[in-house]
Amino acid sequence: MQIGKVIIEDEFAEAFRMWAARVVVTAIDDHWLRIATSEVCGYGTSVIGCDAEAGVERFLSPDETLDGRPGASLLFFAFNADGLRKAVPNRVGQCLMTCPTTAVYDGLPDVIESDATARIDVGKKLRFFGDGNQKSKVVEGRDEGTKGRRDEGNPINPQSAIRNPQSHSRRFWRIPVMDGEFTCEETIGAMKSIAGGNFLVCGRDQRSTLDATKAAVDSIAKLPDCVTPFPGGIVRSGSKVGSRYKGMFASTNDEYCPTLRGIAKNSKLREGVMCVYEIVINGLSEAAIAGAMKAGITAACGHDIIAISAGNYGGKLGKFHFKLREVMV
Amino acid sequence: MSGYTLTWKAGGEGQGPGAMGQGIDGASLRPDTLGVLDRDAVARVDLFAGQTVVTLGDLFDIAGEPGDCLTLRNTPPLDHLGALMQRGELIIEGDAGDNLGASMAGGLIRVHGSAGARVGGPHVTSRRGMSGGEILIDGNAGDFAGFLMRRGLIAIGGASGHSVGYRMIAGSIVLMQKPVDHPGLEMQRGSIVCLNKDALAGGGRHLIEGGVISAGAMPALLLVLRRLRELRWPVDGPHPKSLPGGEGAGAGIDLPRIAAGKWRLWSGDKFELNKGEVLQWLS
Repeated sequence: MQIGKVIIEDEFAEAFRMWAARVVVTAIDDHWLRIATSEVCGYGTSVIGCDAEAGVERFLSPDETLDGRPGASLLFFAFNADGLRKAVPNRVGQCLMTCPTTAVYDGLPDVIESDATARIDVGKKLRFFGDGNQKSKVVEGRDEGTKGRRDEGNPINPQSAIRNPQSHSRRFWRIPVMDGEFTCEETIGAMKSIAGGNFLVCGRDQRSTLDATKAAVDSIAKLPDCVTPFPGGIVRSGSKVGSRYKGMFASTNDEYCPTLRGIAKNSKLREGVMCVYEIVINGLSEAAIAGAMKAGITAACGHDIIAISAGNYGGKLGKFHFKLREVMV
Repeated sequence: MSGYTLTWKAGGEGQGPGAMGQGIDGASLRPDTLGVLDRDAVARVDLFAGQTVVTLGDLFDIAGEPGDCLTLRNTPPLDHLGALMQRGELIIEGDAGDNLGASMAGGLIRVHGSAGARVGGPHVTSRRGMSGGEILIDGNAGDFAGFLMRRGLIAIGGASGHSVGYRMIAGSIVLMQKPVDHPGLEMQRGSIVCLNKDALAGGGRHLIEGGVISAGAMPALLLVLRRLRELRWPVDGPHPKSLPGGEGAGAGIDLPRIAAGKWRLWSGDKFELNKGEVLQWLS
């Protein structure tokens, strides 16, 4: 398969089940918002070595946020809900509560506790920083919330008439800090999701390959329900599972390292490929990842590159397989 | 939103104390209980006027179908409208009597007129006022609005009577006009927000003046006002330029203007928990 002159390899991306939480952060202006997002998403590239994978899903205009200030929607991924229960309050507490003017809200307010979803205590934990001076504010949900997920299949009948009247209200903790109050929603919604969607951009040199990969990241950034958690959305140190050294869970993906051409067993580099960058995509659904891969690959193929490939482990580790040639149909 | 519309019959078919609405308890006029009944059953619902019982069909023309919304038209100011209500929307196209939304737990009450005393206060069966839901009043409210309210939101477009937020336990009260006296007297928690910069809120030795603070320093305040904007309140009537509701009718709350503005802050009641607050929008 080719798109223009770019070869789409017959490979597939192997992705894994993970859990995601969506956090909305707001701040007084764009400057402090970007500082807040870069801090809280820092050291959030791979769960190989980080407590969570994190990224900015999109920036929000004041009209889109609860408090009418500039905001950003962030996604955090961990192996399970318990992982998020540690990582999210830690990151919010250390990186957002400390950052001037920020406030933190739930990005998945309709999510309730179930096998596939969870509520993560955030404000509920952080409120104790107020040392007894904290207080909360309960605000009813949006109008459309009354038609939300919780009401589906719940037509008007005597039972629904006595439904929990608090079901659409949200509690926000107000923690006194030195510039006013840090407002943080009591809990944050989390749900089963997918991490590890990916593709490899194979080019002739660093500059041209990086430009093509950045174009792909920019294209993916416009899409909802997914993030690219690595620096600038790009990985240069793609990895394989295992190592010749004890205690190493992952090591360099030698099959795609241009300096190991002819040295590594089964090098997968085509003739002329001297630089490879990977984009890893985490998303809330298979459709979100497939859509992001398609958008990213399409954008990259508009540049002077040689091939697009994907990283996998032979299909033995990940439950979700995204075949490049199917994604691009 | 579907539901019934109840239009008051001129003079009422029933004779006696209920005919002009005198002494009628409006507690049965709730969207969550009437909205699940068919029209015949709604007509048979009892309304009490002291020891006299009249049926709803005697006093109202009934239109519409079962649903979440209940609209009252041309109704005299009945007491206890929306009391103990748990969900749905009650629209009162006229005035409400005393104890509007008493001990309500959820839902929304809109009054396109004025309301009597103890809006959102305790029902006779309860020791606490409203524990959830929202009450939006375009006109005036009587004394003790928010008396013992536990949670929820009350917004009053016109003047409010004496001691707004008296003994409130928590929740939010938003005022478009200056409170008469002693806002938040004996309040434990909660917020009383005055959106009229020409008015002077506060006033009372039970409050501690906290100075002038940026709205952005208290994002929780913006959440309450955002909710009012979602509900498109206030939507009717002239809004003076001194109000952040925009310079003209129908503009709703101008949140960006508020977010960039300043507020005067009082804490109180200092003789209680001292976790309540009274805020006045300044600019």
